Amino acid sequence: MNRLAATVLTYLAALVVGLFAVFPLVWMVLTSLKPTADIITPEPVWWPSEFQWHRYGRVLRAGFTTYLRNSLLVAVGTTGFGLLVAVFAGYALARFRLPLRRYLVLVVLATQMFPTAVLLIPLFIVMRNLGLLGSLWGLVIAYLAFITPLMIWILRGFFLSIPDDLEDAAMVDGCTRFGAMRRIILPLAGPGVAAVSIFAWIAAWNEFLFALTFIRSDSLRTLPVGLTQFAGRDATDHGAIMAASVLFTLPVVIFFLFVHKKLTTGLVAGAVKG
Amino acid sequence: MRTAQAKAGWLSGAVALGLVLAGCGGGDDGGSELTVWIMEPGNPEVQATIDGFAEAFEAEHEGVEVTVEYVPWTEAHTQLTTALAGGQVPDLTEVGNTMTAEFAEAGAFAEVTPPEGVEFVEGLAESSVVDGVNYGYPWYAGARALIYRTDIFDQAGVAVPQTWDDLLAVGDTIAEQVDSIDPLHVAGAYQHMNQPLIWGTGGDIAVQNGETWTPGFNTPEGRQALEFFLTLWERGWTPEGGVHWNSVDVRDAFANEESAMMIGGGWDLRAILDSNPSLADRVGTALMPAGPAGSRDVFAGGSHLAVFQESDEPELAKQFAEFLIAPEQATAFAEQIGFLPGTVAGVQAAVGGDELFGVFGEQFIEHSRAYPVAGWWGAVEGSGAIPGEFQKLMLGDVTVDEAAANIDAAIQGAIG
Amino acid sequence: MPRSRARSVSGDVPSVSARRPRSVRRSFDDKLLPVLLVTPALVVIAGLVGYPVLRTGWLSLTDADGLRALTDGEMAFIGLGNYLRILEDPVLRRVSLVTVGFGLACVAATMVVGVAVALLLNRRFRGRGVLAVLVLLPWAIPNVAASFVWKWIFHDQYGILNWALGLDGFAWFNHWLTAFAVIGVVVVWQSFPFVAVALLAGLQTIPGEVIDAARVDGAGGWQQLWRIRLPMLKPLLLVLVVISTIWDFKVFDQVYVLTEGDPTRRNEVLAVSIWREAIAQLHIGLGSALAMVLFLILILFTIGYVWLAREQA
Repeated sequence: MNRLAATVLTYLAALVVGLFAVFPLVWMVLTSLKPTADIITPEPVWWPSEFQWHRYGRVLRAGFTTYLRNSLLVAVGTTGFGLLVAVFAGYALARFRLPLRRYLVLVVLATQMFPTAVLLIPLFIVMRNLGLLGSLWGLVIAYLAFITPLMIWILRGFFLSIPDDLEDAAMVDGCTRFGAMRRIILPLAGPGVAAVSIFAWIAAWNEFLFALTFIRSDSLRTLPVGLTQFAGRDATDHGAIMAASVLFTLPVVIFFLFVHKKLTTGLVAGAVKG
Repeated sequence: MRTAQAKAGWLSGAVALGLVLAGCGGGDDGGSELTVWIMEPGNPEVQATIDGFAEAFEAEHEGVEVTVEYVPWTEAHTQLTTALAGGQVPDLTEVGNTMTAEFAEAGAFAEVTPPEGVEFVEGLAESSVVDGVNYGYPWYAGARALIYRTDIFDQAGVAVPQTWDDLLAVGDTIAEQVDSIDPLHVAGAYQHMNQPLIWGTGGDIAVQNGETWTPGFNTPEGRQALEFFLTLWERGWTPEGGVHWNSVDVRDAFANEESAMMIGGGWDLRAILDSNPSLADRVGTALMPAGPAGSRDVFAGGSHLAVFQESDEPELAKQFAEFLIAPEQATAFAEQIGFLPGTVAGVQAAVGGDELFGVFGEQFIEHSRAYPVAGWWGAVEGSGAIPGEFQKLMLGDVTVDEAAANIDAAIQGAIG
Repeated sequence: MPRSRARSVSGDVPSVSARRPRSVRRSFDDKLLPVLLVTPALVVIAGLVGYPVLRTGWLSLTDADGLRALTDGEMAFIGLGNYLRILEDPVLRRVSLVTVGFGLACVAATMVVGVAVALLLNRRFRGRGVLAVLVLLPWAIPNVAASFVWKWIFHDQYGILNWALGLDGFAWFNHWLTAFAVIGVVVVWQSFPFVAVALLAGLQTIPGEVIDAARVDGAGGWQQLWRIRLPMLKPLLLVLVVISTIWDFKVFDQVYVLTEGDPTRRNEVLAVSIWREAIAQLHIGLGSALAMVLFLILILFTIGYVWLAREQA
């Protein structure tokens, strides 16, 4: 009886969570496919009376593949280099008695505490002086500056939750610190690494202000900037904006589905234990 | 083993990525280069048109390379500011005519002389002249007029309102005679409909006297305009949510046949007819009803083309600007985005004689004007104080007198 | 083991290697390696973020105002003048308090939803893998697009929510509390996935034996949660609370889009004030001071959290 109730509750909760998470997205997709008359109506139209696929065609023709490529490059670059830097730094902050370590953590976090809007102009000047304007490299480096601090801090948390006995044992067995970290700790922190990878990926994928300000050339634009083509002065085609948003989100969904196996085996497989 | 493999894969991936990223740098070559900022027109087809203009210009000018870069409207102010502060400006930029004076006063733009012998529309042309110096080429603009439902007017037996009093009377009659529809919606965040009301009462947002500006809402005229707006709201024609509506919400409601009249531009009417084609033979347009002082003036909202003071190619930039505002290009472009070109001849070519859209041309040429042409206006818009007070008025948070005083305080604060 | 973990949070990482005999390798491991590991991160962060942050601090002490201040450096040092102005301005004072209140509410809601979803995903049921992916999606949407969709859902006339609730034409944004509620929903919607995923990852690292042992001891679901799972996840929870605080105190896009730039200033939070002053009106000095105030608030909260976590340990 109790078991049954628990099962029912579990599925009910799953349903509620699923709806909350996904309904706005479903609504976005449906809206993007509806004729405007179906959108502007007090009585909701659930199913488009006529599918407006042409909106998607327009978005795709408007340089979508170029923006997609740029966004992918920037997201991959940021995630890859970010991981490289953050795994090391996070590990060091978790395991070593570094001088000023306590303050280092605060410094790392302090970078997140300013709204990027006020930092934009001075950052632009720094980027200009370093010759980083107008290239995807520059963008990756700018993102690293703002994304790695959180990656470091999160990973440090994961490393801290892994008992150091394991490394000690490995080092007694003749591993170097580095080797112990690579062989023992990293695999254990797998879910954490997966979590920060998604974090870095999404942060880089969604970023708009830097991408707009540091890169002007149309051929190097990333998706968030490229898609502003659908929001102009005094013109708001709800359907077109939704279609652009859907296409914007789709690659991330595909990315999730792609890594979903890895991610969920990392994240969920352990649930068997619970 | 697995880690070693993964590492090798990761390294080669990083190297490949590095190559691709580096390959995207783009190169310089000789000849004249012109960088032009255009505000995102909101649709890729229009972008293609502008890119086409750039190519046509390149074809006419040997060795010239025009790079057009698009900036979203919402970010225009930030991006221009950043470019100026960072010392990396384009040669030529489109600039919203409410912003031209601010950047001109800060020394960003060079003086330019629009072509002789062309009659520009006053409302647009006057907004680029600061202290007697002209800083922009009038490119395109639009003006809002009355859009109404002819079938509802017939049903209620009313004629097109010519004055504000008419507007209220027509609205009352429609409210009485026709159940299914609201006479007119007002919206708190629709500032380009709301703040020009002050011109109808004979007032002005701010009055210039020599070097000094005096805010004008806390005056009998200013209060009368606010009072009229409040009356429209208190008639209860607009849903409660109207406080936070903007022009798009007003337009959506009209397109959805929920209101019989709206104040809107040609671009609004196009969007309405696109989404509800059945309205095509049931809508009419008329000039904005005249206020108590007899003025029908609305805001001439549009764009200038401005040459940067720091441009390396000022002459070329001017040539390209003149190319863009020339009748052939300007008319094609303005029409595509639902706005009107900045010249009288261009407007007439675009909409002259058109039963529906001709009115917008007449409104623009005869009855439109600019917001205060002064550097401080940018800060007033940035503060949001004017729409904020209109919204608070609707919510009953402030009285007309308080709203008027608050608006003037904000304007005075910006003037400094 | 829980004890050693708790001590780690407090910052006293037991220096295991200190007990070992010194050798060249060991001293490399202890001295040089950590520096090498941290340096790349520091170089990138300090190189790019350092100057902008310092400059913001400096500008907050000046009367920089208008474009000329940016192009010609036209400004004067005025000490704490901008900060005094913030203290004296009733709107800005209120905004500072509202930011803290709204931010904390969002953090609390995000954590509750995040923990609940993580625990749910940690159970075994059909479709769990699918749900784990679906739950991530709100996070993948850019703020502006998310705000746009939600604004449409909450639209007074055409919104599906008013239709579903039978609230004919209810204007969510006419009252500041309901407006904050809507903004909060959007913020939580976008931020709970990250918390849920990270916590789920954390839950996986709890050895099954610990839970089994508790179960054998007769601990029920709640007791397992409060006595074992959450305490073991404390370092991670602390990280997530701090990050959520930093994000939720800085919320801008959602407020800006949902309230149309919030001209009445009734739903203003510090990030919006900073934008309104420093960016929209180019009151750069005052805006920078507001940014510093937000920064100080966040620093205080972060130190507060860490201190609380240590006290409890």
